Amino acid sequence: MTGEFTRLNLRYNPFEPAASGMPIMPTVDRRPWVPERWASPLQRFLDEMQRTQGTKAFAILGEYGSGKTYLLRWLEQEELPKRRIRAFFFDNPGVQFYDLANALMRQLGREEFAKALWEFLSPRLPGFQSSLFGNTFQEWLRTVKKHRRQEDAIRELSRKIQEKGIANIREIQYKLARLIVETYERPYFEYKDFVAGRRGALVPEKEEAPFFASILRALRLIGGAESVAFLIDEFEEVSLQKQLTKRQAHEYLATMKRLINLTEREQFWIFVAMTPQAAEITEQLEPALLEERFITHGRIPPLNAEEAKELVTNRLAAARPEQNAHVDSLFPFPKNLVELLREDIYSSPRRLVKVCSVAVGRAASEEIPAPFTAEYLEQIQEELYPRPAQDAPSS
Amino acid sequence: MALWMRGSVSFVALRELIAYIAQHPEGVRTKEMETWAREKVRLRTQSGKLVSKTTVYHYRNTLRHLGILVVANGRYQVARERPFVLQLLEAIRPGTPKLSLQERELFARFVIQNPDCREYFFDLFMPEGLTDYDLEVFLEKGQPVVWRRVELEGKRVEELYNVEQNKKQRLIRSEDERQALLYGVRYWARNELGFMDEIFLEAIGGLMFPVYLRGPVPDPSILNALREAISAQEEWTTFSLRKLAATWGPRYRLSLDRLYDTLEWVYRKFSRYVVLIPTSESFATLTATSHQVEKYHLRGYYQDENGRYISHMRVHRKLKEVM
Repeated sequence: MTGEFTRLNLRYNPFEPAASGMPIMPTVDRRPWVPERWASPLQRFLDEMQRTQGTKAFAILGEYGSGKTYLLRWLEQEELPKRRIRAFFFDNPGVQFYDLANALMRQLGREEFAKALWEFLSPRLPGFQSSLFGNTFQEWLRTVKKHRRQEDAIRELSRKIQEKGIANIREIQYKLARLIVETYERPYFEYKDFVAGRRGALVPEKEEAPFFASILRALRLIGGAESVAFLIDEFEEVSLQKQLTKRQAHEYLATMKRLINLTEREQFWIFVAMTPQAAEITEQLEPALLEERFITHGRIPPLNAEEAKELVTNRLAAARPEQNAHVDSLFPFPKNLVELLREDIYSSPRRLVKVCSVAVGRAASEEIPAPFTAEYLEQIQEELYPRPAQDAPSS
Repeated sequence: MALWMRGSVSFVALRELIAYIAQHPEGVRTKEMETWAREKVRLRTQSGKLVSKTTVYHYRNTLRHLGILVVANGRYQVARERPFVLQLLEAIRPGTPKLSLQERELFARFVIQNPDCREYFFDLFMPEGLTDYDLEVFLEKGQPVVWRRVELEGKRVEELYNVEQNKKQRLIRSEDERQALLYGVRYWARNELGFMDEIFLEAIGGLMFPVYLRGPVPDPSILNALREAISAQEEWTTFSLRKLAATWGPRYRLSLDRLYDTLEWVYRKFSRYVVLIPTSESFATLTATSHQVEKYHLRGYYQDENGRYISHMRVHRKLKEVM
């Protein structure tokens, strides 16, 4: 297959056929590239809110294919780690508060989370020789179980949880401690663990928000991070899985409000990506959410000609062979690529990438001459995104 | 007194009934009317069922209240001496599946001049002090009216109010009023005769407004308004189509169909400068509680040829120059 691309001075097709989210190799140095106009509002927001108090929530608005997921991934992989913000990515998390807790804890894994927290807390059980507990988390859990010291272990862990400032409420301290100790019997989370009020639930009833805040604090402390960020993609798709009742719709918005409230008090950030329609309906149903709470929201601007060219150039550069001949940076595309594309194509990252993907893929297999001609590109554009037939005016 | 307006009334069926009765100058008895409707022409309701005797009752009752039929000696006759009835008789073309523009316009005149329809519904749309109005004045001067469900003393009621004069309002408390106004007159004006349209907005409710029955596509006033609204500074301007509909619909008295047909014409003619932005169908019906309500919410959206519901439209500034 590589051979077929050699003629195009590429090792592979750097454009994915169904552009959605982050490609495996976006640039030469593997670091995701975003246009300056996309990055700067988010960077300004991060700069400002890292220094001041207030709601740390940002809504990224964009149509389908405008690059919302890509921008969230850029935050996750590039911008947030630079600022020592630990990022968690959520794709369509569900409508209720425990759905989010569930999604978060499953992402972390119970054993991993419990182990990290245990290491951070370093509990000491009185009356036991330290050698009895061994050095590893698993050995400690086994010994506690064997000597029936679960209650003592929970008490000690609760004390440490308070001492380290993870939780002040006793019930939350107890539940978190239980989460660690019971990992021996059940090293995984179940959905019911996060449904407050259910028997054996790890979330205390009516204390979901403080519990969540404690988890966030724990995550920050055990990860040595300055703060934690949630990146929530496809906000508008939550209702796709099932038809939401009016109550569920409001529950979803209530979840968002509670999370946003947390961002004011905790070292916690939220970035939500949504379509303009989702923003509009959210604003109508819950005006405070976008007007006052989400103090910042920004629309992803469509790519301009320069940015479109840069996107293509970056992708091509990542796929060039090591002994790169001195070819034009846009080869196998012509130098005036963007001029040959329609405004509605090059302004949309998904459309642009898709057109480029088909152009390169077809050229590799069908011996299409390079640089590509205007007719060839026009044909692909029309195939993928045909212009609608013109209607005659009528009365 | 119970109100007589009902949503089960099809104006196509009313037209057929008028044509049938007009053939019998001596008048038609109830029984004959039912036999004709149910056995001879086998009239169907919108759901495709054979009309019931009750539906035939509502048909003749509606025509009698609208002043198109009179009853003399137990026989229903066409009230030829009343205003517009002769015009209607000349205009109607029975046998077609839809009403012609002229038929719709004439029926609209009967509905708008009916005292019950005015008192309970159309008066709400009229500016303060304007009580003497006909179809033309209603279309020219009528103001938008919102209907929405509210809770009052623990009960769910419907509230209708004039957007420009909040004091002008009506509460619908009984099922009879609900059937007559929301599913009767409102439905006739919006769906059957097309001289009123409506868009659902989550925060407000159903926004109803008068619309002209005829007009060109593309509509020049919408093309002008669009040209004006495109930002000269930004490369692309994004419009919420429902916001446009809720603003330009009442302002230019244009139905959603004509407005969206105009925007579709723009999209087809200048496709490189226009990007349609679809929405998730389930988000568009986020607050809907039933399939019927879902359909009602979706009717405010423009649906493109691929069946996608379009919530927004992105327009390039070059459109300002080329359109």
